Amino acid sequence: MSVVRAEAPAEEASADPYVVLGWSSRAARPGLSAPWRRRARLVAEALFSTDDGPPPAARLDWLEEDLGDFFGHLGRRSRLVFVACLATIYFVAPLLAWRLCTLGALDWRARVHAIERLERSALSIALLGAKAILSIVYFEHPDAAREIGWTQQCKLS
Amino acid sequence: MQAVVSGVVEGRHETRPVALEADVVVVGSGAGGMVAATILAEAGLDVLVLEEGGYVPAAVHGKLRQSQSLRHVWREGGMTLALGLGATPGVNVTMGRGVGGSSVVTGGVCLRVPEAILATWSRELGLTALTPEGLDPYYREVEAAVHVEQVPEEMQSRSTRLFGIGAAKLGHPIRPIGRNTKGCHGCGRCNFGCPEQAKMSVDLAYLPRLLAAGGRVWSDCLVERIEHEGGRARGVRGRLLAGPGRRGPRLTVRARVVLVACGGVHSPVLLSASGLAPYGSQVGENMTLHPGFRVFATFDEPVEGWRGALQSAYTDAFERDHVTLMSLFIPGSVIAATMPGAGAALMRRAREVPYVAMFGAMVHDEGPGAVWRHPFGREPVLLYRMSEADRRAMYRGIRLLGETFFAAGARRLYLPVLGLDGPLDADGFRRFELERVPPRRIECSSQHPLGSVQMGTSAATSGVDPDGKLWDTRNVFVCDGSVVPTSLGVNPQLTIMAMATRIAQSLRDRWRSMPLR
Repeated sequence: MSVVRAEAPAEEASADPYVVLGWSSRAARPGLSAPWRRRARLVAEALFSTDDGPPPAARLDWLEEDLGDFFGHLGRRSRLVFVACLATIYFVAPLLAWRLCTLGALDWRARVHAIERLERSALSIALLGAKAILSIVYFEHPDAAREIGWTQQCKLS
Repeated sequence: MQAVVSGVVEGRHETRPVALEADVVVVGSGAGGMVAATILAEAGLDVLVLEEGGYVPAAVHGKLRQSQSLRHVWREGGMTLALGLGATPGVNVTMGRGVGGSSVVTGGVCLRVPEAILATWSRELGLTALTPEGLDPYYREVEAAVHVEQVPEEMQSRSTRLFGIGAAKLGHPIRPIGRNTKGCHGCGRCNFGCPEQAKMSVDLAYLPRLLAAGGRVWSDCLVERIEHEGGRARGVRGRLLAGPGRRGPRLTVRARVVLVACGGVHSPVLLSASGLAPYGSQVGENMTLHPGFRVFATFDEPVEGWRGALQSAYTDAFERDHVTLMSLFIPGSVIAATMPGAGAALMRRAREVPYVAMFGAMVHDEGPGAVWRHPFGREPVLLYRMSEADRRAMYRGIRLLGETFFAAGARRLYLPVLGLDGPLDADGFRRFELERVPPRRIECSSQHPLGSVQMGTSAATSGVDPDGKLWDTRNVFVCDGSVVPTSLGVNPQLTIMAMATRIAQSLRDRWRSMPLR
């Protein structure tokens, strides 16, 4: 017996942003554990801070959830690569800034400084790996996109 | 109970083992597999296509954010890396994964192989059928099927036009390219799935024909092994996938012919896992990548390079230097991701996104690289070593891009060099000793893994024979980017389709002599 769905069913009103045209895109489970999502959030909070301070908490909540979905669709190797990059930032970057602690123990200004030191070191590839994924997701938040003048043209919803 | 979306059976919904039969089982549904499957189904054969990835209906693409497309139609979210050996950068290799394969995530560029390359194939490699005249009918057939048309000048983005101004001043004007589009309005996000269904990827150009001819397509099916004995394949076996890395029930398929079309990275993996790549064979060797680099330039005026065709023009004026310059643009979020700095410094630079123009350079490489099957995971280990000529071409390409942008009036350049403190102005760029930057600090990407089961005239030097048949087998064929004999210097999509057409038509014509299962 077959259940045949049309190519483009009428859009149903859905509160779930991961359901589009009746097609569910939500991962069965988050691809990162809660502690790693929190560490990713701490890195993002520093990366995307301005002179006025870190980005709004609601935007980081959104990032944390979407990052879990992102990695929920990927295989083990990609998750490991991201976690390795994140671990380098979280545990090694403070040492490069002469602070004997993890990134989580630093305030956001000190975190920015530690990340800048990592970027200038031989381990900069680790920062690039994590920063790429965090930025790709973060700047898709409508407010973050607006802040950098990116219109997200052609997203039809 | 089967879940069928637009004719595609979604294997992830199956809860019991599945056993199927077909005349031809095609592993992979990208530019090679879907084209070959369609030709064979239209010849009256019972064709079954198995795709590892899921099926994202074309209408859904426009509703997804780019990062959602990354997670659904790009393999591993675009996070595959080829490890650089020696003085070679690590190369980020991106591929599609899902019904339609990489054709869903290309910029749509359709270029024929330059005649000089084909001359090498026929004269030096002995592939005498692969001449311009020999391939012309296959190119024509594919160009009609996918609707190749030249990008009109008015659809060029401001980013491309600015580069064009600089290129004209320096005497290497850019030329328009052909793409497989119909009704494109130029919204610059082709490589995240076309939101307007205007790019004629194979899920739009060939899948309906395949289904109309009685072909079957199953998504979410991981083929783990080709079953064979005495050089004759009996079919394939694997698992239905309930989600990423979640192996579901068993899948077995009996077939008279197995057609492998998993792409330049995963075809050698399947052959190796099946015991069809014995020690000393060329399967998994000779991979070329077309390593690519991009340079961002900031202008005083707003550019908004996402308005217009993602790829619309190129120049092959530097083919003697093994470099092709190609227009491209990437989403604002990705531009921001590659800007240096953190915190306020990064955010100040990210606000320059609307003022950024971009162009890319692609090396017509010698490589080579290799694909090694990973004993404990699905994704293989990719190794890549640049030749001295490739390295020279890499620096030359980046230098050309920078000079051209400054000739167009750019203020500053963001080079693809890791660890740079910030952008360079014209004086800074002139003084910058690019050629002394260690290759490992260059940001490099590839969308064209090719040649890992290359076509040739002898088992000692190639993976498949001139008809695409795997050496030492009677009924295993390969028809994707992995059979391309050498690096091309141009985007390979059209050539992969043309070669798949040729292989499938050859198979069709000698079907009666194929062994019964």
